[in-house]
This record gives sequence, structure tokens and C-alpha cells, in this order.
Amino acid sequence: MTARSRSLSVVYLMVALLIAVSMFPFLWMLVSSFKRLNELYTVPPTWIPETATWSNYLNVLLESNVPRYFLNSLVISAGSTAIALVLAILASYGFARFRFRGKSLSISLIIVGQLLPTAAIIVPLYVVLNYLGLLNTYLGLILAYLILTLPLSVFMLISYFKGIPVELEEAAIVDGASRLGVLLRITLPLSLPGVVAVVVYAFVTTWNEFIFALCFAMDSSTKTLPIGLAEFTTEFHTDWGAVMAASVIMTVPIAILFLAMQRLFVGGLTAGATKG
Amino acid sequence: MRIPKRFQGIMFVLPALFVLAMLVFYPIVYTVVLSVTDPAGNYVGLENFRSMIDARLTARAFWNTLIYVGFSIIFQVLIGTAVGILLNNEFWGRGAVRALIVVPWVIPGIVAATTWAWMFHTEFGIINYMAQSAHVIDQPVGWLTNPDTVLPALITVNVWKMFPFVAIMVLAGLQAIPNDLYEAARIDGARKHHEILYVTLPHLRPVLMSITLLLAIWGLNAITIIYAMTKGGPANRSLITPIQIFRHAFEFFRFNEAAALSVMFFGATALLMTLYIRIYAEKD
Amino acid sequence: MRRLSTLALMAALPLGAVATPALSGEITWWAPEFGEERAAELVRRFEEAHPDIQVNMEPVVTNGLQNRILVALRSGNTPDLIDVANGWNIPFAATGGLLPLEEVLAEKNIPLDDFLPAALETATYEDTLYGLPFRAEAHALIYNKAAYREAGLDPDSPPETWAEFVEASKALTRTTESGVEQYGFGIAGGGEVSNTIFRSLPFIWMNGGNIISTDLSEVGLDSPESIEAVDFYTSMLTEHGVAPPSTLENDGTALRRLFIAGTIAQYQSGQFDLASIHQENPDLEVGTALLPHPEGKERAAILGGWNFVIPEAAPNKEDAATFLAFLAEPENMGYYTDTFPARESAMELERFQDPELGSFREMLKYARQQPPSANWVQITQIYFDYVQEALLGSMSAEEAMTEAAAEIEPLLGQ
Repeated sequence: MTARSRSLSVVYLMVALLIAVSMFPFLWMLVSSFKRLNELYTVPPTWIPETATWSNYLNVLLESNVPRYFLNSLVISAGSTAIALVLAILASYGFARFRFRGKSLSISLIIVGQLLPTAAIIVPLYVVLNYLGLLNTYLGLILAYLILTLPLSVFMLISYFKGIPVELEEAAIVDGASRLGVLLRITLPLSLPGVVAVVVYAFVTTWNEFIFALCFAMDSSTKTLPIGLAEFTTEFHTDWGAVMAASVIMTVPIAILFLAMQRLFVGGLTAGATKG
Repeated sequence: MRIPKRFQGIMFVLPALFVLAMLVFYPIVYTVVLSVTDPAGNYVGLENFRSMIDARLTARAFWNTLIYVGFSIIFQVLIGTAVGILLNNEFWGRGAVRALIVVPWVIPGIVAATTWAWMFHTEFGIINYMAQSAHVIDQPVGWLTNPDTVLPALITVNVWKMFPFVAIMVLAGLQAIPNDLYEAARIDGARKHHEILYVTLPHLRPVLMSITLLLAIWGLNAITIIYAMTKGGPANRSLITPIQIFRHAFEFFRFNEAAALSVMFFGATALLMTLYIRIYAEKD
Repeated sequence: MRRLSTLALMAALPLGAVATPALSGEITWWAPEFGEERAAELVRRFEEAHPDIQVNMEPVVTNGLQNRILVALRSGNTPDLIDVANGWNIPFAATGGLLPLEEVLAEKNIPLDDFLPAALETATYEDTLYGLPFRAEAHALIYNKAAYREAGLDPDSPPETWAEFVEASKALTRTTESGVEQYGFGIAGGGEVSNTIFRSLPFIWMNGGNIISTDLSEVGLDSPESIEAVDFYTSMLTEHGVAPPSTLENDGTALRRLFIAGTIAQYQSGQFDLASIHQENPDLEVGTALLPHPEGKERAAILGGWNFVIPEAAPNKEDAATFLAFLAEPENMGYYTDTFPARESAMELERFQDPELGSFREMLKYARQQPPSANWVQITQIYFDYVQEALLGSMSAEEAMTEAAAEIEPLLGQ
């Protein structure tokens, strides 16, 4: 009993340490976002803002491009996620249920797609997007983001589809349904957790993406939130209070989305990543 | 009209393959073309490669990349595995803790980078303040401006950001280990650390292998943290190859040299990956 | 700039439509976002006076703007009037994409002798004028008068020479009565490269050195004059310790923050900093002064500013010229600029008479343009990397600049 409770208190101690380390930057971000400028630049730093202020948030929401960037991020992430989902569902179904010539070659091509260092393809991708007139457009970024999300999404869904008994589909096929119909009406509804995992994964990945957006988005019509945040720290009006407020604004939606979906998401991801 | 059965599979797969081919394979081929031509499109052989290999920064950036990615992975895997094992214990509030610790991983890299940059600030950063209050240091340390501390500081941020991913994967792997294995070990008189050493870790090996591969890929891709925190400085002490490529292409507009560097980087990465997969496959 | 030709060729396809082809009586103007409100007001006034011409003002973000304009110029799919930073003007002109302006300006009776000569030079390529400057500025020294008094210095006679300046900075480096660790002089050693260029290159020039010569034929960074100036700059941190320990992470904005917080007592910047200093710390007594110069030598500064250009491919050059003439009127130019106007007669306007602006205005006389090299970004990156080496103390100023010069050398002939 004592040994057990001792080991339990060790566990609690370690968990407390873990939470402290994981959460501290968020705490500090939140505290800083409510500080006035003078207080941010004070030694020693204060733990609780002396005169808490919303002005940093007002600055970010009313006087910067952040609301527009928020919209851009939303459109681009949603668009890219939707396309990735459709393509991944089709491809994974093909891989999970069929044998065909060139199958293993196709799979290895997708693996290569996942292994590819993005830094190595920014330059040609820039040239290609420029050639197609897609630089600085929503569509350009939406397509570029498929590179990042499609391969892992395919692997996540393959493992889900494989887990669904073929017998269920065969009955429907005997009744004369097409394969696409079977996929849409039988397999997909049963794979909902996998689909949710893909959606969350693709959305989070594109929402957070920085380097493609930095290279392919040139003005406020297409720049995304991460670029907005980077601009806050480089343009003339650098202001740590506003930077921290903008960080909070960027973190909250993604954290909520994630915490709401995390059970499904983690299940789907572990399935895909360990097989990919 | 029904599609013959042997074509059905490929029909499903084709759209995704087509998109990836357009967005990945065509650019790869194009990179190679760019790397052996000049801006006017004339073939120049290995000229671009030579000038990049001669550039003093290329070797330094490559070395920095290896250190940054290598140490990041080591600590991400060590800490992540330990946390995964810790969270596999029964304790009150386990679900909430599991959810919370993953947050650093899901937030945008740029948010992590700016927040940590503010915490690392030499004069107004909370880290220097806490370390000084605890008498760990007596002078403020320029974490991001001192050549000796800049890479460790950046690695810290990268580890903080990614260890949760390792932890949840390990956790999932742990839950797949049949309980009777532990019971058998206990009957044999094994203690807790024996269990970890002889039951847990061997079972985690495949999971850890694929995690390491993913971490390596992500690590080699990761520009965000370094770009946002130091831009490669001070005096290029934290310059990594992806940032060097970015600079040549988008700041100096030397696309052909950037392409040559990309080809070399891709080659080196592919080599590392193949080696890793080879070793991994042999052990199985 | 040749290097972009592949890219530009691709952009020549009409797919990348960047500007709508204008009908006659309609012009498109790319103006930076930061001046959007004033630009809109000028458009309103212009359209009132010229009901037959419609101006479509497109606010553009300065980040990445240089490349965007370059692609537009190369593709021939351009707006009719563009605001460009003065450092870009000559490289743009070198692409052949800009309209020579002398005739246009003569036709509209715009007297060029009313413009700052150095500003006109930023628009002159092979003896032809390819842009009309409208905004000009130079850095001066900004200092904290109270800190001067507390350190026993006279706030009304700031240091003149380098030697005096070092002494003053040392005196200002102290723990103040309120317990703040105060540093004498904040220098830039981090952030975007241009921050350090704008704050250190003037010292090199004053001392008779350069990074590369104005005719782009020689590297001058390893000359004794240049080395001495870089040493003057970097030793603020390494030898005298009058610059704060965070120097390597400080850019212009950070310096302003440190100044407002009372951590540094002096720094160099443009007049645009004054408003935010007054707003954020109204109690701070701000002094401005000319940059200190080496004994027996003249001061120097980098001329910052913006020019108007009309692309060669502009769909409606005629109306663009009419609008340009309108914007060049002293009153409108004085209204539009964020800093100073590039015309002497516009300088007489009320808003430029503030005594606090005096030093900045005076510094304009010493201002020169940066070398118009197509490789300037890469050259300054190399220079900056080695300034950082010197700031880190891993190399002496001499070693650092000798190495930097050797690396810059191959970039000259291109």
C-alpha cells in the first residue's frame, strides 16, 4: 500500500512537472498579451499584469490585417482539406480493396511524396505556380498544401478501410451496387472516425503551415495567419503585446478544434503513421 | 458502361497520383533542370553545384542541419517515450492531461517560435529572469545571440513542440501490448524497470522506428522555428540548409543555385532515409 | 537582375493577370498600404479636378513588393503608376521596363532643380531619369535629455565627433537612480539586414570607406577607413560595452522599444520613430542631433525614400503623367510623404517646420544613395554576417571585413 501510494505520488509529481513545462509558454503568452507596453519592457517581469488591458487585442483585431488573414487561412485550409479528403478517400479505397498492376509502385510513389523535404521543392513549385498563374492565389496554396497532407491522409484511411469487413461490401455488390456506391454508402459511414482524423490532421497542418505561405502568398489577399504573425515581429510596428495577443487568437481555435476531436484524431493518426 | 474489374483499382487511385505527380514529381524533375542551367536557360553543367559547394556557408549549414535534426530527434524520442510510459499509468485526470500535453504539438510553429523568442529575450525574457532568481546564472544570457547557446535553445523549442507527438504514439503502442505479458513478467519476479526494459521497449520498437522516420522528415522540413527566431543568425551559427535554399531563391533571386542546393539536399536526405529504412528492414 | 529572366518569361503569360488593362481615362496606381488613407484622399482630390480620369488605387504590401513589381515589369502587364523604394529604382530601370521621364516632366513644367539632387540620383540610370522622388529621409541621432543631465552631460550640446561620442556613451552607461541598467548607445546587430546597413554604413562613408564603390567596380570594405569605421560601430558592444547585451537580437524597432523603456539613452533612427516615442512615453524628453563624425571629416547618411515610376508598358501613360504632375505639386507631395518631401518648395510647408525635425532635415544634406547593384541584397547579407562575427568577438573588425571583402568580390562583375 505505502509502496503503491509512494509510486503514485511520484507519478503525480512527474505529471505536474510535465504540465508545467508543456503549458508554461501558453501561460506566459496569455499574461504578456494583457500587458501594457511599458510593463512588457520592465525588469523584473511581473507575473500578473498590473493594469490588464484589452488594447493589444483591439489592435490586432481592428488595426491589423489579422482578420483578413484569418479569413484567408480559413478558406485555404478548408479548401485544401476538402480536396485532400476526396482524393485520399478514393485512393485509399483503391489501395485497400483492389489489386492492380503498378500498385506497389504507386504506394512507393506516395511514400516518396511524404519523405520529400519541402525545402527541396519550394523553388520549382514557385516556378510552376507562377507558370500557371497561381502564385498569390487561394488555389495555388490549396494545391501546394496537398503535398503536405495527401500522403499521410492516404495511409491513415487505408488502415481504416482495411479494418472494415469486406463481407459487408460484397453483399451490396451482389445486389448490383457500383464500387463507388458501395464506398459512399457502406464503407465511408463506417469509417467516420478515420475521416474525422484526416480532416483534423489536414486542417491543422494547413492552418499551421508557414514556409509555402511565405513564398507563394504576396499580399493581404492571400496571406495566412502564420505570415501575419511573422509580419508582426518584423514590420515597423513590432509590439510584443500585440504579437502575444495575435498568438492567442491563432492558438485558441486550433486548440479547441483539437481538444474536441482529439480522441478520434489520435486513433486515426496512430493507425496511419505507424503503417506509413 | 462498367469499367473492367482490373482497371477499377487504378481508377480510384489515379486522381491522387495525378495530383502528386503534378505537384511533386514534375517539380523534382524541374529542379534538376534548373540546377544545370543558367537563368537564361543555357546548359551550364555542374557550374551551379560548384559555386554552392565552394560557398563557405554550405558546409556549415549542412552540419547545423544534422546537429539540429539529430539532437532534436534524440530528445524528442527519449522524452516522448518517457512521457508516454508515464501517462500509461492509472491516475486521476489522466484523460485531461493526455489532451493538454498534446497542445504544443497542434499549435502553429510560428506561435511556438515567437512565444519562445520572447521568453528567451536577453533583457526582458522570463527565462533569464527565472534563471537569475534561482542563481543558475548571474549575468543575463543571450540565448539566441550567443553562438554556444543558439542551437541548444532552438533544439529545446523543437523538442518542446514535438515530444507530445511521440508521447501519444508511444501511448497508443503501449495500449496494444497484451496485459498478460506484464503479468507473466511479474510472476517471474520482474520489477517495474525490468518490465519497461524487457517487455515495453521491445514491443515499442516498430512504433519508435516509424516515429523516428517521421520526425526526421519533419525535422528536415522545419524552417519555421529557426526562421522566425533567428533567421539563421547570429553570424549564421544557426543557419540550416532549408533556410539557405530559401535565401538564395527568394532573397537573392538565384534560383539556379538554389535548385542545385535543393538537389544536393534531396540527395543527402534520400541517402539518410534509405540507410535508415535498410537498417530498420534488416533488423525485422 | 538577368537572373529573373526565366521566371519573368513565365510570368509573361497572360494567366498571371496582375493589372486590369485600363481603358482610356482610367489609370491604376500601386501605392504602399501604409499610406493608403492619404493616397485615397489625393485620388479624391484629383478626380474632382479631372472628372474625365478615374484612378484605381491599389494598396500594396511592401513585403515582397520588389519582386512583384519586377515580375510585372518583365511581363508587360503593369499598372500605370507605381511607388517604389528608391533603392529599387535603378535595378528596375536596368530591366528596360520603365519610362524615361525627362520629357514628360518638362511638358508638365515640373522643375527638376527643385528636387534634392541625391534623391534624383536614385532615379538616374545611364544619365536618364526613370523616376520622380517624392519622399526622402535620413537617420539622425535620437537621445534622452534627462539621461544626459543625470550623467552630467549637457543635453543642449550633444557630442560632435566620434571620440566625444564614445565618451558620452560611456558616461551614459550606468545604473540610474531608479535602478535601471542604462546603456549609452543602442546599435542594431539583428533582425533584417537593412537595419544594420542603415546604422553602420553611414559611419563607413563618413570615414572615407565604402562596402562597394558607387560605380560598382570595387570592393572597399577591406580598406583601413572602412575597417576603422566598422570597428567604431562594433566596439560599442565588444570593447566599450555601451551597447546592451541584446545587441545581436536588436533591430530598429527593438532599439526604439529599448529607448522608450529607458534601457538605452541614444540610438539612430528616422523621424518616424518620434511619434511613437511621444505616444508611448509622453514623459520622455527627446533630443535629436546630427550623427557624430570622425575628427576632421564630414558626416554621411543613407538616403531613404520613395519614387514614383511609370512603366514602359503602362496602358495609359498620358493620364498617368497628368496624375504624376498632380502628385508632384509641392502641396500634394508634402501631404503624401510619411517623412520629408523630395522637393525643396514642399519642405516649406508647416508640417516640416517642427524644431524636433531639424536634425533629420539637416542630415538629408549629407545623405547618399546606396550602391545600385543588382546583387546588393546578397552583398549586404555577407557584410551583415561578418559584422555579426565582429559583434560576437569571434573575429576582429579587420579579420571580419577582410573576409567579407573576399566574398563580395566575385559578386561585383555580375
